Amino acid sequence: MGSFQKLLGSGGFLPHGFCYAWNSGLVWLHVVSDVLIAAAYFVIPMVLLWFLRKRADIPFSWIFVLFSVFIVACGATHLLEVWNLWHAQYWFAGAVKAITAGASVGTAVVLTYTAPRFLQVPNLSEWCKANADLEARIAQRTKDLREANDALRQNRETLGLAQKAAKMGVWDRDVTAGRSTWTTELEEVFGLQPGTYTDNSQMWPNLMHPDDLPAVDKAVAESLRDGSEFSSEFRIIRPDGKQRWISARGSVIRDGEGRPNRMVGIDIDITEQKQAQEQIRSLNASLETRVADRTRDLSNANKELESFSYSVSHDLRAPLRTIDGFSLALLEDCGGTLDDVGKEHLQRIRAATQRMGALIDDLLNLSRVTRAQLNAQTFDLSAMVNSVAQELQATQPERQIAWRIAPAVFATGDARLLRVAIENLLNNAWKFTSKHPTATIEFGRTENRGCSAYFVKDDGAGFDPAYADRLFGPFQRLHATAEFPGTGVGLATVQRVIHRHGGRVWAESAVDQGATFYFTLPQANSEGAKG
Amino acid sequence: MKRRQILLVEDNADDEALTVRALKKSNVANEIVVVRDGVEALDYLFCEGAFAGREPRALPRVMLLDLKLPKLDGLRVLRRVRADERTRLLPVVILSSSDEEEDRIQGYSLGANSYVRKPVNFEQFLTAAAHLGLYWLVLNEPPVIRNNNG
Repeated sequence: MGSFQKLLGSGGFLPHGFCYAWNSGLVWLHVVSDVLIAAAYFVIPMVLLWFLRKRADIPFSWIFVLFSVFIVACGATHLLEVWNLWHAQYWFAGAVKAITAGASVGTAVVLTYTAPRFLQVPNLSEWCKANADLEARIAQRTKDLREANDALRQNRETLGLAQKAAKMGVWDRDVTAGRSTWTTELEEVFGLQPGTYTDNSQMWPNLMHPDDLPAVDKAVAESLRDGSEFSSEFRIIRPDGKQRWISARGSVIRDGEGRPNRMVGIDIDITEQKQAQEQIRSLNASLETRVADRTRDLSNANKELESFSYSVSHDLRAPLRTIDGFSLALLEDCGGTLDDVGKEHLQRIRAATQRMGALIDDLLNLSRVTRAQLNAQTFDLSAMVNSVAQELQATQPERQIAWRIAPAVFATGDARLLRVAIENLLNNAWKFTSKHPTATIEFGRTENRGCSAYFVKDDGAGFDPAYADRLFGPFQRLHATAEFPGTGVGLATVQRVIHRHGGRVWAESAVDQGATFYFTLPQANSEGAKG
Repeated sequence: MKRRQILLVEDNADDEALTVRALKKSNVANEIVVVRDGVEALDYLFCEGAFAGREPRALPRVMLLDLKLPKLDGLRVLRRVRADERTRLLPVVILSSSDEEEDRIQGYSLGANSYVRKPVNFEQFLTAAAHLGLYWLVLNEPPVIRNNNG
């Protein structure tokens, strides 16, 4: 209590004004100055604190608190200076000064230690520059981002359009989380509204055709197990009930430990392709049925033709044999009672039956040529022509024929059938040159009507080209039988043989100018014309 | 020794008459036995049916076989003849109107010794018959056929 009174008491000291000898000018100079200093010292911390409150980002703000404390303390010492001009409480003023000294020294010490750290705080121009840099970088980054975004949007648009065009969509399945994301195009493929696909466990099975679901689930499980590519075709049923065909493909993506944790893939609507395939398949099937029907019809027709030929061969020839046989028997047994007219009649009967026999034989040959299987091979046609020519020459060795047979002309076809054709053509040439004392018969290969053709040429009777189209019809003859014997089936047989090989046959001639018969044998068709 | 017979299997009476005439004209002296169908032909060869009591029971020297026959056709007759131990070596000449390749192939496949086509021209037929007679009845040495029938 005593020391407190001592602190606040004047303790017998004279007020400070005595030191100024109460010179009013000096006293008021001090009073006004000290009061102004104290006022300023109280205002400065308040402004500082106000500033600190407003700028929470100012670093080292506690320093300002220290400043405030010692400035307020300084202010207080100045107020006590004024007070003690009249009251002389020097102990109290000293105590306040001591506090001020403590605060000042403390602040000075702290400031000394902290000052180097202040240097690290950028100055304003640095701040401004850093700020400007930052803004520039932000602007650049924003620009980059915008460009990247634009590119991304464009990619996304392109991808979207491509997906739409291809009737496909992309899916991404997070295997671990059991979640899938679908592009809107995929939703469109499945007939869903954009954004309506959910991982609802019922949604996927409901979209699938129930018959195909197990196979697809199995394929997915297999891909996830061994990491293989997922590929499957299945039917879906859209919410509107329409069925579509989907072709799906996907790849498995593994996590850091190599476990499959994601599958990404596409689904493509292939309904149109499937329909086209189905159409082709059904067309093929119907074509095959038609081919089978046609083949059966043909084979039936062939069988009928065979049985017809057989009965022609057997039944039509037997009566002819009887007529001829008994005509001869009549001549032999009753020749004495027949006059020459009767014998002449019988000879005519015999000639007619033999001609009929020849006709039947030729017809049978023609039908045989039609029915025979083609066995194509490549052979020396010149050698065949030579051999047939020699046989013909042997029948009448006295005939003067100059044979001009080009050597080593090869052909691809059925040698047996082509021999029939060659025989008929050479027979023809032989026959129609028979009225000439000497004749030339040629065989070779030449260019005619734009293609490479074989030919048989003679310098015999020839024919009127006006009738050229009738030449190859069965029983068509351009000469009287009495003039040149024949049944009119030979050239029909030639045509049949050549046609069966897929070739063409034609003739050129003029009356008494000889005739040339041309034929072609397309090798590619010789196989196809089988049957 | 009596000449062994010729068995002619022919259903057509005209053809039969002409064949017999042709063979006779070719100086074939063997007896010509004519049967009308395939069944009769087999009956004759195996001494069965109408021919159960025929004498002598020896096989003919040669069988001239038409292909188109009532009841049993020529190829079936041939198959039965070749399948039977008693007749499998019997010379068989097919005498047919047909010159179908298929008939010839089948005839030879079933064991015919010869295939002769009956020509329309009787003169050619005569030539064929003369050759037939000369070959099968004079030149050809028949196999020794074990005769179970007597």
